[in-house]
Amino acid sequence: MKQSKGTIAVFLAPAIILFAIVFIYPVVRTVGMSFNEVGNITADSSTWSWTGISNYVDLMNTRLFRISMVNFLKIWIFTGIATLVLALLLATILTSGIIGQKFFRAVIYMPNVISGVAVGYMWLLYVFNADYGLLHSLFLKLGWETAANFQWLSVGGNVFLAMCIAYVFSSVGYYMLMYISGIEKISKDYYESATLDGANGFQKFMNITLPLLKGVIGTSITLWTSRVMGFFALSQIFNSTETTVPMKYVYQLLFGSSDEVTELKVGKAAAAAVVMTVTVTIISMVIKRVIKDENYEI
Amino acid sequence: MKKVVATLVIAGMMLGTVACGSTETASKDAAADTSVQTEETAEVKDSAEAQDTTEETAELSATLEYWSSWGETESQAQVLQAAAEEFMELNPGVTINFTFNGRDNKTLLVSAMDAGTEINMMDANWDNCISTWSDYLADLTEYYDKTYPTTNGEKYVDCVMSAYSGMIKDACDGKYMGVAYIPQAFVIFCNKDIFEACGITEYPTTWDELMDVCQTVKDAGYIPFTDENAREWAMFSYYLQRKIGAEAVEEICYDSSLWQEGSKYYDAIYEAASAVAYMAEQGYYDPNVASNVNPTAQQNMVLNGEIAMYINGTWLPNETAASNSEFNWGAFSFPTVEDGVDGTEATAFGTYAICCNKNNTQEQMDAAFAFAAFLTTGTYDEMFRDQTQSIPMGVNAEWPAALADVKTIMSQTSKRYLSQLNTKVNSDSSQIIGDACIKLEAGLLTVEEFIKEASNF
Repeated sequence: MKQSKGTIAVFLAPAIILFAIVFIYPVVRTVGMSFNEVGNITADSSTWSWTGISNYVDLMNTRLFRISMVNFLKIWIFTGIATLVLALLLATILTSGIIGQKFFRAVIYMPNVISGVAVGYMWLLYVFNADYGLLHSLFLKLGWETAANFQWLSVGGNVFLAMCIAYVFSSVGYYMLMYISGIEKISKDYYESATLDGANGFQKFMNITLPLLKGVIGTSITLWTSRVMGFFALSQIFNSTETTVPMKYVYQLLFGSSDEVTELKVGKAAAAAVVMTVTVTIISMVIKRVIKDENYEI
Repeated sequence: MKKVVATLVIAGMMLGTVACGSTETASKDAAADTSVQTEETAEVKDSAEAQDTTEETAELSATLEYWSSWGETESQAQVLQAAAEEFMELNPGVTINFTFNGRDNKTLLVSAMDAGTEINMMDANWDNCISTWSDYLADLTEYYDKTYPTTNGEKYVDCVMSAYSGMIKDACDGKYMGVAYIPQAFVIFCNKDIFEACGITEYPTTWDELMDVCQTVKDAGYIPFTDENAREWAMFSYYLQRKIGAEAVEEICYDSSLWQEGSKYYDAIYEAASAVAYMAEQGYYDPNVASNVNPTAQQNMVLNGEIAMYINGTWLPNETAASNSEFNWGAFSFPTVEDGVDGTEATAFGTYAICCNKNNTQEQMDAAFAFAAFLTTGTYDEMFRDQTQSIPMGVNAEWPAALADVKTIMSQTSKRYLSQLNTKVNSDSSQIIGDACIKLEAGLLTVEEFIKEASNF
């Protein structure tokens, strides 16, 4: 059947219109808001007042935003390494044919289906609590007093570490499943051949699994980047300067708090959102250049 | 093809006509009902006038969409629903539908209204109603001067606590743009059993007396104060507001140069920080204060029985009731400080408020305010008190036992601080100041280090 330009346009129109409404319009509006003083997030654009780049200048001069961006980078790098390495390790173990691998997959994935708020409070109240938390009680029973008295949640000390541990726990299952699906696509022939050649498990992992998973790893890092930029619930629950991330900062500026009186700064929040989007885009582009999927035949 | 299109267009037009016709019919029916009701209302009004009253009685007719800041399982929401059910029985022409959004109500509502969602009543913390919804609120002033079935023949305004209705009025140039309910106050709560065990018979009214109380409590083996990462600014901020006033505190939250040596507020900031640092040095704070994450401090206070005092809001007894409903709560006003501009007449307090959409019809407005009056006077005001341990709005209502001392505080209050003090106004600085405060309370910072860290925003 011959396709005329009109037919193509008719078929593409619904997708293009939807894309424009739910993606392009919000992005354009957010960028516009970032150059204006805006009363509230839904305020009509006729009520905005032009401020030029002052929201961006103000943002860069705000220490809390700078801290939040540094925290984003720390979470992205350190928690990212911990999460993705652990996920890869678990994926490798759980595809090696061990007994009960389906059960372990389900258990490790479980935190992903629990709300981030519930996971956060579980760690806060039942694991890290200095008086009756699991770690305190466990170390006390073992007679390790110094470890038992470790202040996991202390502001100006360990609260960031505590939050990252909780985040690794709740994220690792998701990436593990990604890697498992990647590993399961790799032909068994490679491993059998390597076994015949006398390769041990580590060698097989380094020379077969890892190279053939390159594309999946690249995708997982891109996903990790956008997820970390959207990281919010745990930051809100662990609530301190050290655990403030960009999303929490933007939320505070946009909506304030439910029981406190806080000035709303919508234009500045929009500027922060633009900076966050640009950051994620740059990181994703760099990753795409650094980790190239070499399209091995697997 | 053309025939198909023509058929579709005609079918669409017919559907539209039917739909419009239905609406028209419904409107006519409604108009007829209203006309009947107007006549009936006139008769009732005549009768009411004969009884020298202007009560808004049973002739209300409206459907109200009520968006609430409570979660559906919270006791406040359950009281709201029970009240609505009874109100609808008493006023068969009224239908109230709830949407319980929890604390996100504040943020969800504006977008929903802008998108054309029908919302007639809404509630939230009053300060947030003003800051977020001010363009959408109806002026309710005329309704405050009317009487309602639950006001016993008195004007509504005379039946509710003036401190809270007054703050509604003060915020809007003398107009009542909302109805206060579930009011709150932010004060020093204490464990009365510990005070009794320590022989403390009177609450401290000055800072020095408070320090004496702390020492007595500590000497008896208890922990004088606790705190956590949700109220960490309270001690420093209350002290500073007593010293230099609320407006000055707001100023320093926006201008870090005012924290520097030589500025007009430096001495006051130094004094407030020194007072908190002294408490830390003397061991008046819970040793785990730096790692207490909300709600750890309040749970420890009611469960361990070792902590004497905590600056918190009047929601505290309700929030901890499930852990220890027998806890013997006391409360007192933050004490005066030497040469302070404010005394114990100034208290941080606020309230939730019910507001109405300014685009409501007259029928909706009448029904909405009648329901708000029904909620905040009489049986349901008392039910809020009993089921949520909150402050009642009725002037003659009995206060919950856990908040009996707060009644004394509020009776002496003539000046308002923002509901959780004024250091929270600037979201760019509040977290940084708060973290510095908790470190100061934990003894992790000296006064100079505190000032340097808190002013770095």
